[in-house]
Amino acid sequence: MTHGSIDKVSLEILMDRRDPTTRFVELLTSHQIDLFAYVNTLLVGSPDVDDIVQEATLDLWARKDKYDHERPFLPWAFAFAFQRVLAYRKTKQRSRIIFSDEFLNSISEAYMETAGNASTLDVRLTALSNCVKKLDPKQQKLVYDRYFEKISMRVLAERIGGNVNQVCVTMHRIRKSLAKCVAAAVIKERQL
Amino acid sequence: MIEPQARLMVLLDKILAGSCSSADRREFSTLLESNPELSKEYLEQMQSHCLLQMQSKREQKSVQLASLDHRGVLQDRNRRRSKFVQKSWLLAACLLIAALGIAWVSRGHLGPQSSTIAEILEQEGVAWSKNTTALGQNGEISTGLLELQAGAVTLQFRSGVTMYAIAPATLRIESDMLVLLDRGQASANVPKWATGFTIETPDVEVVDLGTKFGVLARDDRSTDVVVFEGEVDLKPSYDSNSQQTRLYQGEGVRVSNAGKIARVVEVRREPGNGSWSTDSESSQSGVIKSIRDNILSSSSVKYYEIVNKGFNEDARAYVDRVHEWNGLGTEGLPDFLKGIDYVRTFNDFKYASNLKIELELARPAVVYVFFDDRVPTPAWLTSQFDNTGIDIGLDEGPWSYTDFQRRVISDLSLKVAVGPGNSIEQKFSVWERKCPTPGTLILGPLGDDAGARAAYGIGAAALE
Repeated sequence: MTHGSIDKVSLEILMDRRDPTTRFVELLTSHQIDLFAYVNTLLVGSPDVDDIVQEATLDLWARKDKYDHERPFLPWAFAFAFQRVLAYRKTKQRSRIIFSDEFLNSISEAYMETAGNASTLDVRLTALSNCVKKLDPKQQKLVYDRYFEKISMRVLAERIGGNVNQVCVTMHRIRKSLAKCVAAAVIKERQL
Repeated sequence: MIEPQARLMVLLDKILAGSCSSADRREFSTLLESNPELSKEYLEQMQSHCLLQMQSKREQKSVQLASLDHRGVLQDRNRRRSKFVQKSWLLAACLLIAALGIAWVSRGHLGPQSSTIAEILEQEGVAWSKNTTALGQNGEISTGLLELQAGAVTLQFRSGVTMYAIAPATLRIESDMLVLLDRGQASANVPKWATGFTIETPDVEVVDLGTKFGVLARDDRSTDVVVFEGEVDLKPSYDSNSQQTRLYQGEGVRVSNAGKIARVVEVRREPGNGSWSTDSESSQSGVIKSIRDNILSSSSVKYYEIVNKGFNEDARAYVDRVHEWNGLGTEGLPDFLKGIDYVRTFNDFKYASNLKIELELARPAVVYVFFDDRVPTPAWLTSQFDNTGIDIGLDEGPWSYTDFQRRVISDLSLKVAVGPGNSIEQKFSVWERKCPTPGTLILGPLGDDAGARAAYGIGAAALE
């Protein structure tokens, strides 16, 4: 047995000994990104995603005693978030809803499959930072301007002397490349 | 590059940036729904997008914390990283709990006990899905999801409403006055003080006005609404500007996902059971397979109610009146009628001079028609049926209706009584026809000038 694996086992034992509320808070906080991404994927473009995630979090908190710590947290949590998404859709005019009910179910299922083994937020964010650094300088600047400076697509297009569609395509390629890079880094982390 | 993927690239960022039009949204939706291979790409994009957003939020917090650090809050620079992680985790936990606490109190929840908004009154063979979140200990129901996989349950809400649901059904309990029915059947009995109780499906919002009513969210993206007593208001979800429609006792409609409203012609109920069905094929044991007529949805949305094995003393005669069938004397109904299947017709069909009813039988049967003795016997009856020479009685209750000139005509002094031979207002002759092979019978109108009389009833017994 290696030293690393002893640490891992000890950590798991220590985690199990903590009181359920502490463990639950840790689960909630470490999986906020997953709830956020899940709701965002189902309600893409909605300005109310943060509110819905908060409402879903309230639902989870209210039922923390019902959570079986032996069971995976994410599928349990997503079920509440999904109900909040459905309730939200009912309050909106049909023209503001993007996906049909059937497709919503299908995309939710697909999401759950990909998120089944989601690693912790810290691991993913560290991987993301490293992956952004691997982009070429122009792409890094575009990511920074778009996500950190919140510069509009139209202004970004003017800066590169192109049109909005070209920026959209570039952003799409960058996110695709980052997704592959992060997934590979997460797998590598698990193997350590 | 294939065209759909190219469009996805352009549309997604417009949507994420909030700079898209309704047409962009529709195109994006159609694009993804008709090109399943793009789903994986979409998920991948959203994963990166959300991680980048999260990183951005964290950077902003980091900047704020760094400014605190600059003022000397965190002095030990060698341990800054670990302290930051520890502090941010604790901060997140504290903020989370504080936010939850504030939101909880602001929503009026004083504790877990007070969040109970209904309890299970009765249940039979119930199996809940693992997705169910609204069910607490001892049958207490709070807000959340109820997914019924098997059996039937009756809930008693704090508002006084009782609601019966039968599997398979998916309900989201929003409050003791609002239930979102995503799938399946729910029937509510709403006391006057709980007027406004609402059952909402993806197709329609049904607001109660003091009544007994049933809602069925069908798998074909339509909703059936049936009013057993009182009245309800309907508001189709298709268009938020669509007009509200009021439904009265004895009326039933199917509201499509596109907001179209059509008449429900037939409702089937088993006695002693809260469930009902609007599908002819649903009955396995009934003698009557289906009933149809030539009344257009535009002129009436009243339904026929088929009650299997339900013809007994004090059986409700019409869907739109409280009148009851009874034996004329204390000896009660004749034995050959007791417990047979029958149709609750609607009394207003007496005004339909061209009425044509198609009664389809599921098996060999004796069909009975109970015909008002005050009305001249029509030819369609004498040519197809034999008069048994036996009469039964109609015990009338209070009634009212609005005529063509919008005048309300009523007699509210009448009351129904219990048991045979009591409070009988009208005599009805029992006509019979033996049908040794299953088929369809055509029944006609009540007759000319029959407006002031009572509509006929229909019964059927299996032919042995």
